[in-house]
Amino acid sequence: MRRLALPVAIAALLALGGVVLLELVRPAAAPTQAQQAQQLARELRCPDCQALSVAESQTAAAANIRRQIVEQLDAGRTPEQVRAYFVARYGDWILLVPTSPFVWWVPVVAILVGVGVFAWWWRRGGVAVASALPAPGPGLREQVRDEVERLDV
Amino acid sequence: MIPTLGHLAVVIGLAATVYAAGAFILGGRSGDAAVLASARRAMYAAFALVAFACFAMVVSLLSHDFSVLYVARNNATTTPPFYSVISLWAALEGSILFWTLLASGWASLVLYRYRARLPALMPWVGATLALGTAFFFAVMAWPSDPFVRVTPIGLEGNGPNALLQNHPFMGLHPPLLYLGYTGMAIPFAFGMAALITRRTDEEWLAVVRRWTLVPWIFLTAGIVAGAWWSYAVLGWGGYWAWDPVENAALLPWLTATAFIHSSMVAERRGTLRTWTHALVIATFVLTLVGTFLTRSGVVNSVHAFTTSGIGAWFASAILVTLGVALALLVWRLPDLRDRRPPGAVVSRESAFVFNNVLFLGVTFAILFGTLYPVLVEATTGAKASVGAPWFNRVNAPIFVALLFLTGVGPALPWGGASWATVRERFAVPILSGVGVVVAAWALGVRDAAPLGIFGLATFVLVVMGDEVVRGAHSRARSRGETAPLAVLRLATRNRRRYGGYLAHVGICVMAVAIAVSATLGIDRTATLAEGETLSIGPYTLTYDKLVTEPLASDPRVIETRAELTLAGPQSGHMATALRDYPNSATAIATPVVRTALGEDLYVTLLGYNPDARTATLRIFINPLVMWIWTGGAIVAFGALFAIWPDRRRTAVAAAVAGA
Repeated sequence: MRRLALPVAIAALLALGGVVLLELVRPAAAPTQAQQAQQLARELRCPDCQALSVAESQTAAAANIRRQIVEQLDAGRTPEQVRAYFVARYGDWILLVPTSPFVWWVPVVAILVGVGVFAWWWRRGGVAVASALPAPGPGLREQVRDEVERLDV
Repeated sequence: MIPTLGHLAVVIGLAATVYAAGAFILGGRSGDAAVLASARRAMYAAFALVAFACFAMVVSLLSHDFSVLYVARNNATTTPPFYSVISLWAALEGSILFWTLLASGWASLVLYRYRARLPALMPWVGATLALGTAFFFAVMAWPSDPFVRVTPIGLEGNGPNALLQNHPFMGLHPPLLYLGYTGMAIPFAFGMAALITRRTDEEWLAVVRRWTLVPWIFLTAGIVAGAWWSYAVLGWGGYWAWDPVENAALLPWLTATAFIHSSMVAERRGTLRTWTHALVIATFVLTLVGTFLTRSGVVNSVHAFTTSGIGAWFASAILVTLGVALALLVWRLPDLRDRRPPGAVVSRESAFVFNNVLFLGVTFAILFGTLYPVLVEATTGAKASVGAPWFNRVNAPIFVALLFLTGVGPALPWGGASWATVRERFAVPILSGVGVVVAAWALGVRDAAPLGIFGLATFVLVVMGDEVVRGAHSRARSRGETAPLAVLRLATRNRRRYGGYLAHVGICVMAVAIAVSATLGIDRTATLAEGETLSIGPYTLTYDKLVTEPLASDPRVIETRAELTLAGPQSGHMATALRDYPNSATAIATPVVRTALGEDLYVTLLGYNPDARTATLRIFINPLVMWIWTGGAIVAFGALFAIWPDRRRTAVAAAVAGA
């Protein structure tokens, strides 16, 4: 029973992952126009705020842009066309997510480099799974003291 | 007269800190106790002097002394006393004065507490702290003098920044944050002292851990209070906008948190020692970078005060600090070699190492996102924005991975785990997590973010619960204690471990609240005529009337408020307003928030038509938001529990030292 516990847990996790994947693959209902407008408003910067999107800001300029988004979607333009319209008017600055793919790669590469550095550090003398007792070292005293204290003897 | 004395105090304070730095260095080299004592006294004097300067500024603000430029710019005769006092930190020069007060206060506290201990380290700790404080005194003596006078003297001042006088939270959030920021100089000073004296041993780590956790608690509380302020004041229904100054507060918090974890590995296993030193340096430098970014006008932000000449000063200080600290670190690299090889890949230290990779990854990503517009403008001249959608998409997966590690770390033993241990520790938590996700699904939750966070949080909580139960069980069996007593004793006798677990519980609470409030809320905008009713969720909201009148506490401020009657789970009258301040071009929203355990009803007035008497309201139902603040409080309390002095441990340490 105990031996089976982890395989069962992992099987359950995989099953859950499979269901989630199926949900993701299943074609989602096409977004309504209101959802499209909301999504666009979140991606556009409020021109006279510091860090807020048009969706969050309560300034007149933001309200104006929100209205224009709805009007343009009503007129049958696609979200891409609406976005392009605002970029043409204000420049790339209006987009809260820059168009350059560079901004996505940099953090990913940084984390991969970090993992790589530690993997290299580990290769110098690490093992995959402990098979014996830890070797005595400066930490052991502390560890023993801690265990003893936990037992409070 | 009083402002002149304030200025004089600043100048003498500068001299005192410069003297203290020199005396600490001389005393450190010669070991002369009298010189060191005089250096310490010079630092206490500097603290007293800057306290007097702050007092002079507060008196000038309260007496509306418009001969002082700072007062003329940030105060008016109608400003209520409370906001006059807190205007001390409401603009650039005053905030640097306040910063210096806290920095020299921390320095004096540490120098006093360790006046008879750690004799080899303390002179260099003192020298570092004195130099840091001297820098801020110098900034006040030259580019950012808070006591600059102005003639002719105006009869009326400009009044405080409208945003900053709209909520009493301004009295709480900046002091907490500044206590956190300035306190991070303490671990840095100990780090420098350890490198200089080559005492990079476990004694050093124990002191630095404690003195990182103290400011860390304030930084945590300050960040959460800042988010709460943003939520309660700005009226956009959210609490975190990835504004540059929010990022600036988060960056040192992230590296300090990474340090709190990796220092345990350094202490227990004798590895990662260079790395922990680097984190201490990074944390301090990032507090300077944050100040530089938000105070120099390099990056635009809600909090950026006027563009000023301090940019070059801070940039130089950052470069010098970074250069000296890194040179010292490289010079001492041979002392910091790993004392033993890293343990197994499946071990507690590896969980901590991955924790550090992720914390540093998220720090880097946030720094990069904050600086990207500056970099683009400097290289191509084009303007760019990086906002919430980018930060959320990049950082959310990293924070989720960190939450996962919160559960993995405590379940794995130091050194390495066998497969049997892994099987024993993880099966039940994973099954519980999956079970909760399925149950939440069955109850109708369909969004991926809350489902995933429910599962992860359950996993983490069950891992920790299992740890507590096993520990308490063995205690109860061996000592015959009742279960609650065994848990209490277990926790109070292993404060560090169980304080840490409590902090992790707070993180889980925050994670669930953030995920739920971000995805399961309702956000509606509606324009109503007087008497009209709106239903939203379980609430019915009636817009009664529009009232425009001057504010009772400050008649220069004109408030237009929509009075509402609420029925539903909560009922009663409430009002949400727009306030026109004479020194603000746009009206300041004053949202009304009805908080309950399950959800907040949040109503803000977007606009109104004075002729038609209509009001445009934005209404949010934000679920679980109060649990974000509660979770933050649990985190801070957990850390406080961990560092609370333990009489038994102190007695043991004294006995060991005496033996």
